[in-house]
Amino acid sequence: MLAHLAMALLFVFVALLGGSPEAPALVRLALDGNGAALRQLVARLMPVIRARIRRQLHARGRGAVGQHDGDDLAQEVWLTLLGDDGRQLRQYDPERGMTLEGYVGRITEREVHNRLVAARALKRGGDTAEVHLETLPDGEAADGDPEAHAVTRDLAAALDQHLESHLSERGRLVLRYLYTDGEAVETTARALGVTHQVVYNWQHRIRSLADAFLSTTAGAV
Amino acid sequence: MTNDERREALLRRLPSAAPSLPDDDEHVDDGVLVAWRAGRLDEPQTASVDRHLSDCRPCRALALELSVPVPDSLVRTAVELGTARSRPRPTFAPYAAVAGLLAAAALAVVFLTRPPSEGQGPVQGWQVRGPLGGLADARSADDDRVTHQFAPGAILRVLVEPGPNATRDAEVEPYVVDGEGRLRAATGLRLERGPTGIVRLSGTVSEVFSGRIGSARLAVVLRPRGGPGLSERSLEQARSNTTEAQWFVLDLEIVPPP
Repeated sequence: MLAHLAMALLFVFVALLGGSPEAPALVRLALDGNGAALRQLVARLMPVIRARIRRQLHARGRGAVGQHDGDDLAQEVWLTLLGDDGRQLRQYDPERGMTLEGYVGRITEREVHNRLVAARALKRGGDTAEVHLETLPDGEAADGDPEAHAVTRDLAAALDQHLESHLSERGRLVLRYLYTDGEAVETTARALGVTHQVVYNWQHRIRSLADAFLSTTAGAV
Repeated sequence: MTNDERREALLRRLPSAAPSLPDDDEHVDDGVLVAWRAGRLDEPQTASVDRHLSDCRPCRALALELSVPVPDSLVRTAVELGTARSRPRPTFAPYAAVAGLLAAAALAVVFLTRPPSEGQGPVQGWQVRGPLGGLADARSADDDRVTHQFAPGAILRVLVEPGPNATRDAEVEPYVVDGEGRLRAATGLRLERGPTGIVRLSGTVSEVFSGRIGSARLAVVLRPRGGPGLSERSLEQARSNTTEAQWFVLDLEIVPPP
């Protein structure tokens, strides 16, 4: 229920951000040869195109994506967007409840998915098996002792509830980046657009809460 | 195991948040994520995005990738591609004006290229985009030639892309055609193959053409692996002897600074 309310709020934000008439005008100007508009459009869209591509590449080969990997794919997607006199870009309509970035993000996702699947099929002679982001393993370690595993799982669930009730939204997000996703403090800070110290502060808070919780359940781990 | 180690291990085993929502409609819009990262949302909006990200791994991953800086070279290339696509075909006059302006610029190098020509043979379905990386480009109305201007130290880039039905297992060989029409391996070009099979050739202009001034040619040949090298052969002889290959020839003219 809470999640649905949150999503409804997000759609309102999208309407506020994407409903501005300047995005279609920017697209038209850029496609009609205005250099400043084109540079502005590229600066606005290329981070989204590249981010969508890199996320897909990571999903297919975790940890194997270098700094510049995906740049050629980004150019391909960009050419696709420009193709046919920029037909796809010109079709953007803020009335549909998406920002221009969101619209281009979806096109990018589709284009890259199709190309990667086609490339894999050709490479492996028709094997189109793929990994979905939604089903990626969460790094749960195998445990040889089923009972110990069950106890640990229950304790982790209880700790999760404890943290959920004591951390703010931002604290929970830091928790997910640092522990669920295993990201470094520096990476987490960059993702959130905050300083390292802010993340260190949250990490200290998370650890303190966890220590306090575990002290009341001593011997359970 | 110390208490700290136990705590860290347990934190890493926290249950996953609610399963990610399968419909793209229910993920955070990319534009909202950009605004969130830039701090342009108010407090309730920020908290709402934070909550969604806590529960949604794909959106967390996207937010993280949005924080990776985009290389300037990628932005420049995207602008060049956009300029080439959107610019109305100019007449000879603006072409001359552009050439005049660049002639006035010290150390300017001008490349005159024709659309790549293609050969016939078992290797097929590839196309070339480029050269990319110049300072500006313009298309002449009379013979469809495209002019690319490069600074001497600019990075020349050529993308060799497989089409949907391209022969996949082809070897990509770039050659510089010397003043006598003979092929020389383009050792100044670096070759990288991308995840979908795109081959990117890149190198500094002065290194690729060994500081040459005047007319020059770059040839890219795709042919079955394992064939003998084509260095020292004349371009025409090599083309006639490799009917199984697909050829792309870029005609270049490097103009000395005034």
